[in-house]
Amino acid sequence: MATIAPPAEQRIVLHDIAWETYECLLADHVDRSAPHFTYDHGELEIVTPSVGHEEDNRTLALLVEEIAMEWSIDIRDVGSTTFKRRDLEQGFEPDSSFYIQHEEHVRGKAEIDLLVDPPPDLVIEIEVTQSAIAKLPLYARMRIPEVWRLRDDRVKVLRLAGSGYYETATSAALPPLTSEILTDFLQSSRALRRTAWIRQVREWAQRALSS
Amino acid sequence: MSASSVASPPQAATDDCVVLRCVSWDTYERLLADDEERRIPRMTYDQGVLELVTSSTPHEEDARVIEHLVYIVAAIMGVPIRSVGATTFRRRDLKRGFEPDASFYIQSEERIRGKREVDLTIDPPPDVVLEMEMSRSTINKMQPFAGMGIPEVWRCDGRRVTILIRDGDAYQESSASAALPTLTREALGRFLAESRTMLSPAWFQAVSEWARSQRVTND
Repeated sequence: MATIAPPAEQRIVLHDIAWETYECLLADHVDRSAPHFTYDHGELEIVTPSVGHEEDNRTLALLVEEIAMEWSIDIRDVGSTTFKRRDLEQGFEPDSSFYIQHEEHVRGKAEIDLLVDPPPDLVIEIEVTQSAIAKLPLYARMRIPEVWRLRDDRVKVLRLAGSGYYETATSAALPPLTSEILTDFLQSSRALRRTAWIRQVREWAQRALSS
Repeated sequence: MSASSVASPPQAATDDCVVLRCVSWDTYERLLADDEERRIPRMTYDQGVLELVTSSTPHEEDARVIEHLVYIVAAIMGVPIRSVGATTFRRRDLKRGFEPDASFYIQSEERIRGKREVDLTIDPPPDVVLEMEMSRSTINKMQPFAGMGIPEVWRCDGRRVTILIRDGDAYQESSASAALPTLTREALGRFLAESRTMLSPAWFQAVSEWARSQRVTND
């Protein structure tokens, strides 16, 4: 019997695209969340995430929200906001992004402009297929302090140091969360019912707080 | 299974397809202008919806085979044609544009003879457009094709070729081409299949001989 396969991730790359064309596309697409555009010196990559991709992304974003709530940390979830810098000729839309340490700097702001505002403290990147544009150098140029990258079912925590990222066990955006705990919760989210999973996340957050 | 199907189809194509909604005509034209040498991805624009599709090798190769076939048959029949490939055909007034996998001027060849560029606001549309159907294309292309007055569309899924002739706003399936009547659905499918198993000189011979035999029967 034929079953309907979930839509796979779709990726298109265009070359020699002017910054103005990129901005026109963004302006035309103001109200959409997918697909995601990444721009780097004339290269434009357009990706429509798969269902699995989006689901993992939502799970990790929910985990951030739940933990911040338990720890009484005010955060701002800016999702797949477009972060762009004309001066660098670069722009991207992460799977998820959060202001945590710098939440106060962007509180109440309807629009974020990286020329005056700080970059998000945390970016989540779900990597299902290889990206045509290397994202880490782009994040580094924009001074994103921390990236959680999901690849091969494991979450890695990457911290910015100089012009690159190094892998670290513990998150600095939300300590003492570790890459191991993130990976465990991501994997258990697939087996557990959502209510049970959220309860476990909250219990862990409470234990971490008291220890 | 008809004789026009292939025993072992090519590997599943890995074409990627992205659809953008609410794209203005100006943005579409900017995208076309920024990279004039672009062949991939192929862009289709239909009243605000922009579809971008990459094409895989088997897809490209089949389109080239069909181009050769048309060339050989038309030459043997003594019909002057122009094979304009994946030219961008667009009509700002209709807010539609597309880039076929292959396209041919046959009946209208004389009207564009000597022209290096085709402008659909003054020139006729191509007589035949080829669409490879292996991609995950989501835009229904038949409506824009009808809207732009394309008389004939060939759709190829890698095995079979379907011939569609315009009838007002819609297309009707036909067993033979109206633009080049020698070419039937059966012949297109058979020679496409044979191109995968035969060496190119033998394939060329087979197509030429068949076309000559058709010329004799037609006389």
